[in-house]
Amino acid sequence: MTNSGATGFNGLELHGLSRRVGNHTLVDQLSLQVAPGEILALLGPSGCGKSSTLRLIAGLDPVSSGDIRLGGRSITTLPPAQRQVAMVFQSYALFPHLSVERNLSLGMELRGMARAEIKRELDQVLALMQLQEQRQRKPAELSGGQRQRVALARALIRRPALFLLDEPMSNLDAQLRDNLRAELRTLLRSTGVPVVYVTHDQHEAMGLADRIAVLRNGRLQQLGSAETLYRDPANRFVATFLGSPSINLIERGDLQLGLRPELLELANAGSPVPAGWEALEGQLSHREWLGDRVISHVHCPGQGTLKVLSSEAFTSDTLQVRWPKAQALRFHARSGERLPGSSDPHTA
Amino acid sequence: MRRWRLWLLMAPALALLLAIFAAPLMHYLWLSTQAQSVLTGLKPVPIGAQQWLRLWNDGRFWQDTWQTLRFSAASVSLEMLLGLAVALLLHQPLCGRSLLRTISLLPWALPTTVMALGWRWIFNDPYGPINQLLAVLGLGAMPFLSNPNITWLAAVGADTWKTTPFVALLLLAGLQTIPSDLYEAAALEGATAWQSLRRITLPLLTPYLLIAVLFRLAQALGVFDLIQVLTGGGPAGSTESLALYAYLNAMRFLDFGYSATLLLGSFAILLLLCGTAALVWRWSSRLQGELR
Repeated sequence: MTNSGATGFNGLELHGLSRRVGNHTLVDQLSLQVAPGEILALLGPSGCGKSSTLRLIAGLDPVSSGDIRLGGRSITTLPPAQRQVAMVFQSYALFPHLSVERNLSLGMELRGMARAEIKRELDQVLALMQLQEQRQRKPAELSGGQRQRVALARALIRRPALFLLDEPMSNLDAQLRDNLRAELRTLLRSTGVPVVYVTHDQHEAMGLADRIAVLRNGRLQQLGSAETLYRDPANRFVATFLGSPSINLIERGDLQLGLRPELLELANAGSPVPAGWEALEGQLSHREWLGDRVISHVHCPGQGTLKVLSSEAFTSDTLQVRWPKAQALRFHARSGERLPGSSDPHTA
Repeated sequence: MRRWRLWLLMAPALALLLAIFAAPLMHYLWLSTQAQSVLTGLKPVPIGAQQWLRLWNDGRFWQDTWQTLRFSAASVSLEMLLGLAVALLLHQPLCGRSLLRTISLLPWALPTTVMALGWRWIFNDPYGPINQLLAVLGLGAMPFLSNPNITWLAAVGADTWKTTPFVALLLLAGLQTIPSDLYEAAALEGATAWQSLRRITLPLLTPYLLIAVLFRLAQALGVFDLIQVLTGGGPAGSTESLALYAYLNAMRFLDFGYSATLLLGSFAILLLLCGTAALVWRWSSRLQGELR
């Protein structure tokens, strides 16, 4: 707080953060803020710059330009150890030759903490993460979930001013991942520090994060709550990246219409189209039954196949697919930018 | 039936092993109980354990044992230290790293006799480059190859120069198996370069260090060609190795029986040392558990 350029904001701030390697721009002019106690997810496909951003914040890679501030103080040029940052690596980066206990205590030993204090901290975090029985085991003797807990414990015991997680769930099986999401969210929120969570999994981002930053080619596409990104995407990329099954895109000249599968309604072919609605006709190609809902894949000549999410299967094979015009998203066909207003400006 | 078939499938390999290792060893064991020299007209004559007693009372054998151990201990430890240093250096992201790696392997690729001749010239007194340099600096010449207290060190130097690349290569392979995020995790915890080396690199490199020690120890204890060309065992037998002594008995004194006894004697010493190293290795790898 003694820094001359101190601002009032207490969390993590990125200002025009960039990283370039040769001709490649890995992170391009990224600016965002994460408040204390807030979980921000960096979401995007592989190679979008989300992990690069995390490494910049941690201090593992040098910043090309821009500023990183934590607690109002610039940490852009500080070495990793002085940033008080804890990071959970995708591989967990547990030391294979050390027991769980030593994995957790190594950092404190390196910082010269007293033995009694180390033991107290260890007992506390091992109890919190339910790892007491594993404390003497080596990482190789642990299950995937236990390893993840050790990695989290090691980050917690650091008492960091900032929490970074790099795809911490990607090595777990799908069911465990679903079960852990809420638990992890509670744990991360309890630290009271800014949390940056990197993932390529939209479910994880939506289920865990308070806000999501969608990245593509190192650039921020949109930043907002999961609901905002889903209902009000800034461009076609965000619209297609979020949502499962993914959004339907159909051509309308130099426009593209984005139709969420749950927006579409099925009717018998040739049914009258209600006022303010638009419709296409097509053949049912196949159905995916999800238990509570059904995805019908309807082939519409000239428009490709539309996915329709409904609660009940429609029995007929020739179908009408229709939607309220005002609720279709409109994108510029070339640039993919979102255009305001409803689907058909001439008749709206 | 099953067991019978297993043996049948292993038979070719077993036969090869027997022919290459077991048969010569058994032959030598037999030969060590025979006198076969010029005195017997080069015909084997059974003499029981006499040559083993001779070995026990042979001062030159014990002196050569000491010299061989001294040479091995000095050169292997030096090579491990330098090899580790070179491996750590070549593991860094330097520009032209692959070229450096290739260059660093050259001494190892050179035939020992060729490099030993080279070193004999380098150590030459007074015309070798080192002594020329010393003369230019106004210092006295160094009797590298004629002073018993210095010559064995010269041999260690030449051996270290040649085999450090081998150790470095092995250790470099080991370094490349250590994931870089372990170092990043340690750096986030505040580890200095030295702490990372001691807490992460060395423990994870231990299996590779021990394999390198094992390989190099086996080679150094049987050193022959380097000594033969560089010093011929001199001065005053001060650099003579066990292998060289056995060679002299067979090829110069034509005492094949005693040469066989000598070889078996040094084989026993080698077995003892390498066996200990292997035990230490197994013990430490069990201690470490599976790496990941």
